[in-house]
Amino acid sequence: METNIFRYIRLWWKLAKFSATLEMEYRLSFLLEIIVECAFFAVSMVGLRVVYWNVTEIAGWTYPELLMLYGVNMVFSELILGFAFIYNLRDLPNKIATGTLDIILTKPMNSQYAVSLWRPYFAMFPSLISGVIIAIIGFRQTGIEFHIANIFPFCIVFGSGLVMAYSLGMMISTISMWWVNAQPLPMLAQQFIFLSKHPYSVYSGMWKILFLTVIPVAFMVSIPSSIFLGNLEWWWIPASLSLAALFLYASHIFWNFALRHYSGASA
Amino acid sequence: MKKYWYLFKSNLAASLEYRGALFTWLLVELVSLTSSLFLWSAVFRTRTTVGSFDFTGILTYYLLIPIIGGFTSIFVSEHLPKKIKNGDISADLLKPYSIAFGTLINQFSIKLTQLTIKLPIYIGLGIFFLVLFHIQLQPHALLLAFGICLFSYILHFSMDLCLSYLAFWVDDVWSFSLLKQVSLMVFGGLSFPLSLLPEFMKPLFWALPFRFIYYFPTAVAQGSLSNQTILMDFSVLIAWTVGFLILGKILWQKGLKKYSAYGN
Repeated sequence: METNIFRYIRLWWKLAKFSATLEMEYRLSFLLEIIVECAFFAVSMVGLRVVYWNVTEIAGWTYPELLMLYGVNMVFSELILGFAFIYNLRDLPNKIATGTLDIILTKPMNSQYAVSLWRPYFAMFPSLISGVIIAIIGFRQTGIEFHIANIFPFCIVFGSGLVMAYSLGMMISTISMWWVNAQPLPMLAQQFIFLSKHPYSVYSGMWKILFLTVIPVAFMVSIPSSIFLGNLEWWWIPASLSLAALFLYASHIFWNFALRHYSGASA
Repeated sequence: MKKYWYLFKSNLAASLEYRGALFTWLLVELVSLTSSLFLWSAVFRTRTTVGSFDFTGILTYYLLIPIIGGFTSIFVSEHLPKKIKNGDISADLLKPYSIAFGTLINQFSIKLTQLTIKLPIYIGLGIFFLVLFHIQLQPHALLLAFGICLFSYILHFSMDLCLSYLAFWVDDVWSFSLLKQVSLMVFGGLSFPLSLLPEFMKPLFWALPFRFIYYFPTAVAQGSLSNQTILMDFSVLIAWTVGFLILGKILWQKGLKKYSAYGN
């Protein structure tokens, strides 16, 4: 099992280097992609600022707190989009429709890995760094004391959130096995994941339960941000780990189930 | 004109083939709309007004935005640049119609299919919220907004056409197209109502053409603009449209001189 994991890490590293070479080949495109990425988050920031020019808090979150949450969200979104979506899951419906999936299935590796984590998107890095900077600025503005002990639970919940988002995206994109021209499905998955950009306290009633369990966006950005703000509740750690394992397993089962219904289009 | 009618019919048939995809795009929009409504309902938990909006005002704004967008959205720069880059327009150049007008007809047929799927759902949602929150909209304001949407559509089309023609010179128009989408989100009023902006930021937002695609028709439908403002803004909308049409014509002529393709 351990050898297997290292094999996939080594493989990913080789593919990442290859992907970086490919992206750098078109330098102007790469630069434009970076500009678009930065512009997208600048827009989100303007939107947030405009709301806070008119109000002092939203669902108990002040501007610096929400600024920090947006920074964490930038990092989260860039990681999930960059590693799983942009070059991988977004292209899955196309691979199924054109039969390119046939070739992937013949490779001696896990096919779920091959369709979802094959090629990373490197233009995400400037936005990712901007996200870290914004989160730090927001956190400093809150005036809350930084506790190094919060890093460990943050990493566990944040990492679990990434696994949940990946699994959710994988499951929704897998539906394209049954659907011709399902290009919007990965975008729908992304839209669900983007619900994590709001504080969890924004949701009320049955939505609170829904976004904690069925579409666990609460564990993706809001709860990790709350940990840094000193509001750690210990049940979050086992809950996030269990949900991450459950979602990952479910995505694996669903992918294998879907593969049994796949008939190649190219051969 | 008959050739354009046949072009319209064949494009309509092609776009109807992918009703499922259109329906999924609608779901994407609805999830995004729901996300904004969650945020604003949380804002209004502790207050009754934000800027000049009460909760029903904000709700109406966010319900009108996708309806207005249903009429004014355009996706020329997602397809035409690829055709230019791949040399696929060579075949179109031989056909007896204008590529710009043919593209408009193509977009119009896609729009008709989109509206057939989207409008009943949004109108249903609209009526549900109108009754639930006692929202009042003036029929004459809605009619006026609908009329303005047609002009906003032409403006957006001409803007997107200019963007697409950049493919004659630039390899990657995709990024410019995304930048336009991002600009529409902030300068067009997709992310938030532009009237919430502080006074010092308004001149910048008002100087750009993006607000005419979403914000202006929405504000007209809500009845929040005076007749004088509508008339003045409408004149600016026309001026931008004419400007982009002229620019498009120049770019097309210069681009064609530079265009070369093989194997078609």
